[in-house]
Amino acid sequence: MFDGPEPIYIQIAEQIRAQILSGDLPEEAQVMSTTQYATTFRINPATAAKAFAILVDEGVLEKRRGLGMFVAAGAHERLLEEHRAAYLEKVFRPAVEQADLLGIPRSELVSYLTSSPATTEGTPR
Amino acid sequence: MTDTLDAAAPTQERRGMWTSAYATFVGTWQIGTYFWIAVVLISVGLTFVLDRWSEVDSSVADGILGSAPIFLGVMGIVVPLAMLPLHLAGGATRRSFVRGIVVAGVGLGLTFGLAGALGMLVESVVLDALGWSATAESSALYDSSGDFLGIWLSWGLSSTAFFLGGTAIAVGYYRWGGVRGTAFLVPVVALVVGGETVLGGGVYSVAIDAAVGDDVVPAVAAVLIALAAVATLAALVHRALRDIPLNPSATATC
Amino acid sequence: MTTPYGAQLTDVTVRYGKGDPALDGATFAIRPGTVTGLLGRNGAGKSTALALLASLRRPTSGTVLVDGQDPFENAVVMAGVQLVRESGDVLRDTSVKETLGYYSELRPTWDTDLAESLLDQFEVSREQRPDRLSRGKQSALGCVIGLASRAPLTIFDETYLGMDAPSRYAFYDALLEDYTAHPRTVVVSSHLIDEVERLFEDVVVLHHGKTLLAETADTVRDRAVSLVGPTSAVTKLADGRRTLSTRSLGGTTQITLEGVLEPAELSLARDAGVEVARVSLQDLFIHLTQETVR
Repeated sequence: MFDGPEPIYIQIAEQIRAQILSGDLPEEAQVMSTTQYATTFRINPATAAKAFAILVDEGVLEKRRGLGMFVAAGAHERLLEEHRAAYLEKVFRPAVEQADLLGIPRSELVSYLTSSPATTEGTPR
Repeated sequence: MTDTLDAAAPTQERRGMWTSAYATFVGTWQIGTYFWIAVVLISVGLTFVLDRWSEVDSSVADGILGSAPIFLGVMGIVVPLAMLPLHLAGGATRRSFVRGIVVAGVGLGLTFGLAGALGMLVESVVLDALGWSATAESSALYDSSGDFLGIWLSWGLSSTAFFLGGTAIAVGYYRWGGVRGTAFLVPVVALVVGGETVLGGGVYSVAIDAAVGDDVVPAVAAVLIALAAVATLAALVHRALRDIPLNPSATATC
Repeated sequence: MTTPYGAQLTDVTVRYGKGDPALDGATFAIRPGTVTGLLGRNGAGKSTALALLASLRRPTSGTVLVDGQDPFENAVVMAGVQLVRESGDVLRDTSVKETLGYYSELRPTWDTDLAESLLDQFEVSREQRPDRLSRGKQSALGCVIGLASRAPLTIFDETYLGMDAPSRYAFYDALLEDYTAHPRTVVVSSHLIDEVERLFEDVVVLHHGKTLLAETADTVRDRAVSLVGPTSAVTKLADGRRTLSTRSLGGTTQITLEGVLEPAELSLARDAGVEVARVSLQDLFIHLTQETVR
């Protein structure tokens, strides 16, 4: 857990974003407190607090006074938008570049994409 | 806990003083109880033995109960030094520790002196009742024939002096090692033995009494001199402890 | 409530008799409210530095400040500092109860309930004499004292080395729990860096009595990066940078570099099939203190 090259608080923030995206953390749901995070993962509470602060700034989490930290309304949609944009840039483009490098014609990529079954319910836009 | 660190320095100093005084006093008495049980048994046993094969013509308990100051001297060497690291780790000052040790030393002297005087009183009553006559060896203040207050005061002051002397010696060696520790020991021993002698106790007073007479030093002066010796010993304890560095623990890796 | 204490050592030297000084001009700060890790090899001066904070001794030269004041014989400051040494500052030959009683009498912030529940948790007998406890239980007793002290500056000096792994983790959990509920400054010195590095907000590394580094844990972690991948790609990425260590096996090389990779370099690395990973504090510590071995 948290062994990536980025600082731990970035990794924590990324993990929470991923949980919201996947629906494991629904909107309006309460997330673990700083203390719970710290004791569960044996990390410094300040590290967890830093991750939460980033997510609050982004509008992904919101702090409810006296109650704790909750997933903000619309957080799922917002993250989806961001990740869609990032996906094309960071995942798809390198894949296409790699295909070019390997000499796979674009037409073959297109036919692969249209014929491969959707992995999740719902149709791609 | 409702207390906070807003507590002022005097409060903390008082807290430190009473904690070390209480722990020293109670800790020493816990072991001291065994000491008193032992000396009473020995006194009683020896009295019977002497009565059976010899003749009881002077106090038996005198020499045995009179070892109380020596016992406190040993306790003075052992107990405070064992408590010092705990006291400092507990966040209390050396200042409060010294005060606590002095308070405990006075308390131990008073109570050990009282216990000894009571022992002597009981013995003289018993010997009287049995028709044995205990003759006084006599000295200025202290008289084994049964001057209760005199014995209490004499043994009490000696006991305090021995206890503080023991502490000063132990701390001196802990702090300064062999050479300077020994140099520090000399005035300490002089004060302890001098105080005891002027009070009429200890191994030298009989000889001195024989040489110069036992009324050379009036009782009041003897008490004052002994009090001065105790005060000086307390000052020496303070000198050794006031800014003592704790040695790095032997097991720690530094 | 008590406010956490900060501390500052400035150009501090401590000599014990002849030979190399235990501390040799060390300067570092402990930020109030942090959990700070104090690291160093044997003889680096860790215990000496901690003894200064707890007023167990005075420096030969230099200044020591705790909560902005000289702590030595300062009744109020000392009352707010708890140092737990590995040796355990306890009454060895009377019951554990007596030792805890002494602490609770002395310490204005002592929490008896916490001490009781921790004794149960670590299964330390109240009636036993400390010198008859196993090494692990002696260490656990030290942990109980440190936590229950609730001191605004609580210091654990190799305290829990005698404890087995489950007990150590129980201690880390108890520490984090109590620290978040009752904020204070905690300093931990340990050789088990892998276990504790994530507890640290700040890290101080001492080496031969000098301060090697004193900064936030995140900054320390950015000091080096590890690359694993095809030798040609890895050496290309490493070109012009300071290398802390290199290991090669066949066509694969692992290199530890000083500094971090820029995003551009990161994507280059990814494209070349080079795995980029953080260097553990433990490894970094070994690199840092090895290169300057005399």
